[in-house]
Amino acid sequence: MSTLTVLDELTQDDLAPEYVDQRVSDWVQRINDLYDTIEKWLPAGWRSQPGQPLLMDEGLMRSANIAPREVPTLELVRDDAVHISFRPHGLWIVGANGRVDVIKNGQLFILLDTANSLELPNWRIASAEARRDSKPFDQNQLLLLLK
Amino acid sequence: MKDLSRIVALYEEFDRRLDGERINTEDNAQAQRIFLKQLINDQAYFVLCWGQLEVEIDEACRSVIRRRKTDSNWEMRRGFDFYNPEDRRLMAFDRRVAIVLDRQAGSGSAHGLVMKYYELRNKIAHGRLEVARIDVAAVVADFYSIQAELKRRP
Repeated sequence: MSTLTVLDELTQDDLAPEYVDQRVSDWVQRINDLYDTIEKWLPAGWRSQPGQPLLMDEGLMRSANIAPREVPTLELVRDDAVHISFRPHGLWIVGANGRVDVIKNGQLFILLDTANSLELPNWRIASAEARRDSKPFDQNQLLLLLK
Repeated sequence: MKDLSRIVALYEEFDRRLDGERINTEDNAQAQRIFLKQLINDQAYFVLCWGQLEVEIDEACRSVIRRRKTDSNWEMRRGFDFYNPEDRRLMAFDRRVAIVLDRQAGSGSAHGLVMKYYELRNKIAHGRLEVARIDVAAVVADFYSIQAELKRRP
């Protein structure tokens, strides 16, 4: 199957359960890879820790009889206090290949993977206040977030 | 698509409020209720935005028919004499799209994108869409690229 977008997937009526399962596994892997990268980018004084996992049970999973799956969350800690949380919001989002909510003191940042399905991720981050002004999520953006 | 920017701005305002309520509640059931509101809000605003694109395609189609059926060259006029550009129903939507965008240009083309969004719109209208969020701002960016393609080949 050639590369699809979420729009393709949601407008097809014949997605194989194996494909949906593969997409879920890929999402969990992308999230774990993202957290590994963030951990490597953290400056001195910061550490990361796993947060409470979330249950993933999206519409396409239910249609394909794919069992709900736990997805990890991540917390960034400084001086023994959690300052930032990364919480996966959803995989099947028309216009993106998954979204992670980044919450800092009650303020929301939106982390979107803008790649096509099953491609290498292309994470971009934007403040919820200016969500169309997204930037590639790199170490510099993480450091800005930590300020 | 004269109202599109106002519609998406309003969508973002309400979605931001719902996001704020959702991430700041400690109650998981309440967060889930807000998430469900966001799903419905996404779909409602998507359909509003779709209406703007549909009008754009409709007008582009009528413009082509007007121009072609009054062309003095029969090679340009042939086949278009049948259509009345002032007819409210004109023709089926897929035919209107095929008159203004190349239907053989592939699934990643402007034509392919319009038809996929049309299917999404139909799924929403008929209550058949899987539960999935819609990033309306990203969709609207696609709509503007489709509009640019319509204007590039009037």
